[in-house]
Amino acid sequence: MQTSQFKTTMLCILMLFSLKVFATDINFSGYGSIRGGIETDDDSASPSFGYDDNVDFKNESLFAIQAKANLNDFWSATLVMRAAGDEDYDIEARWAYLNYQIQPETVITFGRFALPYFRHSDTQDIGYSHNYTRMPISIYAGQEFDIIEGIRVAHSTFLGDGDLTLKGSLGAFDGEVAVLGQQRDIDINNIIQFSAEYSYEWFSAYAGVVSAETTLDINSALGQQLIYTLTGYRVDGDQVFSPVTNSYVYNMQDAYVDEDDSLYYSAGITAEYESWIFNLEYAAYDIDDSLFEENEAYYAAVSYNFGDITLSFVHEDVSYSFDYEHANSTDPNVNAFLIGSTDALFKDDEYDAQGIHLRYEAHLGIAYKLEYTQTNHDLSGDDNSVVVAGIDFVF
Amino acid sequence: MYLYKTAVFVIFLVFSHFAAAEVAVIVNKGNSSELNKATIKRMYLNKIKAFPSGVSLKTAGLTATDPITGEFYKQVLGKSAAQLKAYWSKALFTGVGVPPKELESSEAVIELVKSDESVIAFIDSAKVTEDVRVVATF
Repeated sequence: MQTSQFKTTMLCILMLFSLKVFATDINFSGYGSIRGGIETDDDSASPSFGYDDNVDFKNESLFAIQAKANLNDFWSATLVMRAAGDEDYDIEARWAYLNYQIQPETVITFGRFALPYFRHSDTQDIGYSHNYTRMPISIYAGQEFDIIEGIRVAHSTFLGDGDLTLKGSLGAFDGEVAVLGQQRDIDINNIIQFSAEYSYEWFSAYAGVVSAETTLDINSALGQQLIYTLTGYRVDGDQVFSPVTNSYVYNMQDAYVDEDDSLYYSAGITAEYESWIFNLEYAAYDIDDSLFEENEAYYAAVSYNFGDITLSFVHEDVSYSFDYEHANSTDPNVNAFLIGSTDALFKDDEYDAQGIHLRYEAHLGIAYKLEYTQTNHDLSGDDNSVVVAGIDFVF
Repeated sequence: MYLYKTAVFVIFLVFSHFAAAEVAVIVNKGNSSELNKATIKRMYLNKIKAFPSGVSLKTAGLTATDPITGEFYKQVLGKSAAQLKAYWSKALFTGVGVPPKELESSEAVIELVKSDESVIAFIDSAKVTEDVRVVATF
């Protein structure tokens, strides 16, 4: 996951810290979560958010510490180191960046930062900042490539009596993701992100888009699988030949993830009126010209605040379009293989879930959380449930 | 007569207690900005980061547990201390803003405002001195 760009950024920040340490105050702050949870049905194919039938305190626990130094009125350097239980508490530089305040309402960020794919992507691991045990997994699945190296511009302004916050990012990611149970190399280049959030009194709305050029190292495996599955068929370069006619029947580029455009878009609204909070968020993404199907996810949450206690009901849903656009061969056997491969990749991911989340403000900066969520797996018809208790804190 | 005096004294105490709950928003005497409630709210929520003159601003106030702070959060920002802690933690950890600097006493806040033209702060209005300029009371 570490690129030379990231290493250079780290080196710059370390140099700045060491040069300025005597002249500048370094402000430390941090956040974290300790959670324990269990699933109720170990045999179910339905999602359990990383929990099994033994009580687990590691899966969703994490600690992060931020060090920030103001170099002068315009420049600041920030480093956020995070140790997460699901990564064996290996310390990772989640954020490592220089901020330049070009004008009071415009800040440019250079370095490594969390990409706001969706509305709360860049703060989803700060449990204290929201009312749930976790942001709904249907949208906030925590992609491996949610941290990028690049440039971000944030600008805030007014629109009528409301506030408008705009964010734009440019960057790249080079690392690994898990596909079909194996770690695969993934390159995501030309990542361009843009989002706008408008808030007026008790109402706010958000819209965002991310486009990128994705290459996923599953192409040779897909070709081999085709030869293995369809006896006599031949893959020569990108071209598939049928043994019956000995002629070209398919271009594998229509299924490969090779410098293909991915597009993520999302929208959300929040209404926070007196003691009620309503949240709705929708997100969709697709990789063009590949075996990927369009993913659609949404969640709706209603919360009521009783002073120190906030009770939330969350409904979430993940589905795919399954229009099999890439299965466009003249040969039905090839199409059957392509449809089967797509189903194997995505059918298993469809589910919906309903959860109750309780937040108790124990002290300012410390919140206790309790959750019960039932998940329903579309493919198998199985259901499952998780019970999770935890403590979120910021300091 | 003694009873009457006691009653007046008690009433005075009660009223002085209410008076103490009034919040004053203050700036440096060299800062001539005219600020209304909506602007002050935007400043504390990191939506505005400079005074109308262009001078960049830093927010400050009393500690979160001080009753004056609670009054300011309720009257001006319209949120509870916990909601604001959550809001500011998002801003802090994404690099878009910092929470207000918290000081133990109104006297300490006045000292900070006196020494720094870029600071806006809130204190107990009963503690206001000649050293600072009041832009609003709530």
